[in-house]
Amino acid sequence: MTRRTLRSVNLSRREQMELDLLLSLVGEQEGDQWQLVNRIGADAAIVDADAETAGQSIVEARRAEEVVITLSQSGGDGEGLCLARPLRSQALVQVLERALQRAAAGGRGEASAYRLRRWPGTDMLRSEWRLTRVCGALGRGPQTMSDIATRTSIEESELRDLLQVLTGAGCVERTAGSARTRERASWTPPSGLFHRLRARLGRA
Amino acid sequence: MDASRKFLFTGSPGVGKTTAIRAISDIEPVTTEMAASDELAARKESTTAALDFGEIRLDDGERIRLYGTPGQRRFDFMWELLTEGAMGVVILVDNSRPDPLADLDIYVENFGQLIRDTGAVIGVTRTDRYSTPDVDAFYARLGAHRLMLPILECDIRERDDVTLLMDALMSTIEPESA
Amino acid sequence: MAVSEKVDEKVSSFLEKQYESLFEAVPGLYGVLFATADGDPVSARLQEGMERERLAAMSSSLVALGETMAKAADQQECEYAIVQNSDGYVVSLRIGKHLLLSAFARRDTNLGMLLSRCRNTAENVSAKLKRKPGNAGGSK
Repeated sequence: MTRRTLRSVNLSRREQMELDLLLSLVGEQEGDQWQLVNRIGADAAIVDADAETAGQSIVEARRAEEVVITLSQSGGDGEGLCLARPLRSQALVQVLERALQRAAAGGRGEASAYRLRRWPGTDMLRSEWRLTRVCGALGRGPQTMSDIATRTSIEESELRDLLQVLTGAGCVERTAGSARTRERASWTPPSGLFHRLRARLGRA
Repeated sequence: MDASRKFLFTGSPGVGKTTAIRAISDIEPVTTEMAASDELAARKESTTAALDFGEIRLDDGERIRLYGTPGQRRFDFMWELLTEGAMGVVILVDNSRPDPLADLDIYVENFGQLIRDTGAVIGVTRTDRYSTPDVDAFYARLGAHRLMLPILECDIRERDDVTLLMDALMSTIEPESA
Repeated sequence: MAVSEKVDEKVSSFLEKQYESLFEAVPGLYGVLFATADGDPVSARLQEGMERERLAAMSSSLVALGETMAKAADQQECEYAIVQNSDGYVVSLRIGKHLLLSAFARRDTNLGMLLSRCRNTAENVSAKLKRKPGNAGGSK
């Protein structure tokens, strides 16, 4: 099962609650579980197209490589990813499916890179030791998911969850463009040394 | 000395470098303390004048050496000597001091080459009582040095916090397979 | 070659006499430095070009390491830290808990004389500091 995130933009509190409820009711669809989040950098963003700042919100969402879904009284032109008020579960499911297809077709997701903005706090690192590995990998510069998976040996399905946690905490953001790796003078610790040291320190 | 089996602990005078080493060392650390004078004496009776030395002994008999530098700038010749062969550096900053960000600058600049060649972690202490500057301010300051390093609030008297610093440090050096 | 301004006039005058006595007794001597135990210079008479602050800090490191090494070698108190170089000597020793004395001499100096005179100077300074009211052995 893959967790997907949906950010609501300018929706009223009531509509957010309705959306949250609908997402939990529609449950798992084709292996994807959607979750409502607040932080930019989600898989998709549902934008109130009737709001004054709609245009700006859409630009912002696209810049963050979120697939944009609009919600309006009129329901849009029916071509794009548009929903009409009030929200209905069937319409929502169909649009979310199309959103994923669009994301896959646009090459978004696996190919775009993640950038480290900051490390998470001590409490978060204590609770999940793999976050340290992921942040360490990202410390060398923006990385795609497959790069991070290679460097950390964490499976992509688990890595996706970890990246969502980090994104939700504001530590990581999606970024367009090719990943660049920070150059470093060549030095590699002896094979397995850090693994053994971590084990000795109780951090493996 | 095997040059690839050594970590360095540095940072503000009195921040607790010796304490941090003691928290994870398998031997009682060797210290070179001398009676403190000037403003440091109000907080500590003694200060490291040459180096601290501790050791972690791995199960296969391998030893990881932990070196603590003196904190005061007048001992920067020791910083240079101790940097040689280090795998990475833990920089501890005391948030109770008058200008912790300026302190950060000193250690980031003086250990800049080591940081770029290997890796580093920043541990900020005493944040429970001294909450400013906050972690965001430290990240902004690191950004001015064009560096992205883990900045962790910690209590270096707690072994768990020191092991977390070490874990983060290792992650910055080379992202090995888990 | 100026004495540091960190000491008051009386102490300064006393130290001047110590310097005179030392330089007279040890012909090869070319520098003397008093520092706090943690490496802050207090007073010095050094040749041109010798960095007082750096040498004070190094004296502290040298004595600290010497004492630590003595313990590690199961030996008793470190009396002198001596560095013998191809063209000279560096000698450092403690004065009580809070002060250090370092002396710099050419290689043709009689080492025994150097050590002995440094010890005398250290004892003189130590005694003077003990006599100073409210000063239990530290000065800056």
